[in-house]
Amino acid sequence: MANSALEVQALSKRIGNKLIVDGVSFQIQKGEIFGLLGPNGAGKTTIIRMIVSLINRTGGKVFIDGTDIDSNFSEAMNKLGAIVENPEFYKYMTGYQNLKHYARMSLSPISQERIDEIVKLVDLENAIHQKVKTYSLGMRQRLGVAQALLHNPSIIILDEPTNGLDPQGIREFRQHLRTLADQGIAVLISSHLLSEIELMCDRYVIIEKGKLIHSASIHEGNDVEQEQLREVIFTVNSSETAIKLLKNLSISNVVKKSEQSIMLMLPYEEIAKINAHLVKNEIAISEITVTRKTLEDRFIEITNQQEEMAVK
Amino acid sequence: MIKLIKNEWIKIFARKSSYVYLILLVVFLFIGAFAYDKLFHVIGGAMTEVAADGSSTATEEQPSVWNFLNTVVLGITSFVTLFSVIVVSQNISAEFGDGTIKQLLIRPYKRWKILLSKYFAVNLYSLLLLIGLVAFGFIIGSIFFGTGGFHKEIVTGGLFSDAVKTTTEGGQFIQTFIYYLPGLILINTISFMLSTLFKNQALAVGVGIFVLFISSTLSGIFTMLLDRYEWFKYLIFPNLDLTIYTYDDTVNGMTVGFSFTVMVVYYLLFMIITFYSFQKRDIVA
Ligand SMILES: Nc1ncnc2c1ncn2[C@@H]1O[C@H](COP(=O)(O)OP(=O)(O)OP(=O)(O)O)[C@@H](O)[C@H]1O
Ligand SMILES: [Mg+2]
Repeated sequence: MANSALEVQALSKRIGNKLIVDGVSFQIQKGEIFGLLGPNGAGKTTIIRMIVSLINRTGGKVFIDGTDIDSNFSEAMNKLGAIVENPEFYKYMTGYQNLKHYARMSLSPISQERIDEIVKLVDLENAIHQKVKTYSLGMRQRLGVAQALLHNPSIIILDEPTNGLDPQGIREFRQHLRTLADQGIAVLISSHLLSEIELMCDRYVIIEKGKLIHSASIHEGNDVEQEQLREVIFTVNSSETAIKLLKNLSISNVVKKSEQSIMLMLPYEEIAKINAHLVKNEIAISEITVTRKTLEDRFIEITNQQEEMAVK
Repeated sequence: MIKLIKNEWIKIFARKSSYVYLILLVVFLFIGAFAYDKLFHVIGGAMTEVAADGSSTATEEQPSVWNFLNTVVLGITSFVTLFSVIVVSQNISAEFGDGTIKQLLIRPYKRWKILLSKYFAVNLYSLLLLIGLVAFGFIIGSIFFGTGGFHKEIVTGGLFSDAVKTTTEGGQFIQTFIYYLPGLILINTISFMLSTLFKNQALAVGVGIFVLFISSTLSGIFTMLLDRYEWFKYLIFPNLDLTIYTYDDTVNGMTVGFSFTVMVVYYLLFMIITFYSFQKRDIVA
């Protein structure tokens, strides 16, 4: 079986007597965009710093493309590219000189053409020979992606990569990531923005207070949502009658929104039944609106559940 | 490893200040040469007057390039040390300060290798300053005072003891140059250690200059302390400057061999502290 691009096992980090990261494990496959989602201070950056060996691990293992980072550090690191927190460069050198600098540190030689190709990919051709101190944050983000990609890594790790990008930039960035993933590169991004993770990732985990509390894939997400209640709005000819009819079915949590519309919480599969019941009793239904539960609701729901559990 | 050193070398010279220090040294050399030349004209003038009295024949106290190297150029080496301390401290602490250390350490090289490449590069720069100083000193000295004078006999010593010895201008210079090197490297190493430990450039430069200052200006106090406390001679300060041994073989009961050995011990200690702490540290810049 092919190796995962990245596998972390039971990562933990203790500082003082505080467990900042507590037994986090996950795997990322090649060609997959993986999200590390969590509120501020959850421990995302700490996890990333441990993966790239900037800080010591209190416990746990890291494998990059199957290579154990402890037993074969150089080989493992040569298959990884990253931006940790903000993209920092030597401001007194040009973007190009910065890239050359990192290119020299690759174990496999990097050609001139490769650098040019990457510069083109991140769309910095016009500014690459300017000193980095003249760059905007968005340009530095892109240069950061460029230095992470230079040496054809199996995985790139980007900590809050859309920081400082404008909406247009974020859109392009998303497309870039997708292109990279299609070429078989795995991508790990961290974010505290659900909408971002939802749009970019194939799969994500939620980190809360250093623990991995939820893991799901965006597309399989529907299964999870099946059992959950969601808001359904029926537009009917008479709210009063409809509410009475529903009471007969012992459904009482119905809200009258207006003379022509009612709202109730239903699991997905109940909607059709309710519809049939109303129609059978000669209610004219002109519209049924199901509000889709977004990741955001789930995120808040999940983190709140954790909170409640912690209180108990 | 060569690639790493090359990277560090390029980064050093990507900063304008690295050229400025070299240029400053040349400027100091010119100023020194002018001043030295003036000084000899004054003294020379006075001597001719004496000679005109007929009471004594004019002594040919003509300065030579070697004489210039021994006095002015060796005096300017303090600036080599100063500039080295600044560049060494800046080299490490700027990586922490700018956060570039993170991007530097996520490469396929062990941390100690990356640190060692920095260590080599800054010491190379330091040597470049020194060699630049001597080379330009020689050229400027030759222009002002003419070549030659290498074999001129001079008498040194009597500074710390009554013993005097005879040597040549050239011999004296070469010996001083060689005796200067260990101190330079050790002070660089101290600055390197401080900036790695504290990540703070101001602190590293400050302490570096303090060490420099203390070892070159407080020798009187050292003599006093050395008289009183035997253990004082095992400290680093009285041993940092080997060039004093070019005047006298024993200074305060210490010899060049003794001081050099003490330096080596401190050197090894500092290197171990620097590399060990860097290898272990959590990089949170
Ligand atoms: N060196 C340290 N000493 C003590 N606590 C630390 C240290 N580094 C991080 N922490 C704590 O660990 C927790 C996780 O920090 P981390 O930077 O990993 O969060 P994050 O998920 O990246 O947050 P953000 O979204 O704000 O970037 C925080 O509560 C932080 O205060
Ligand atoms: Mg963070």
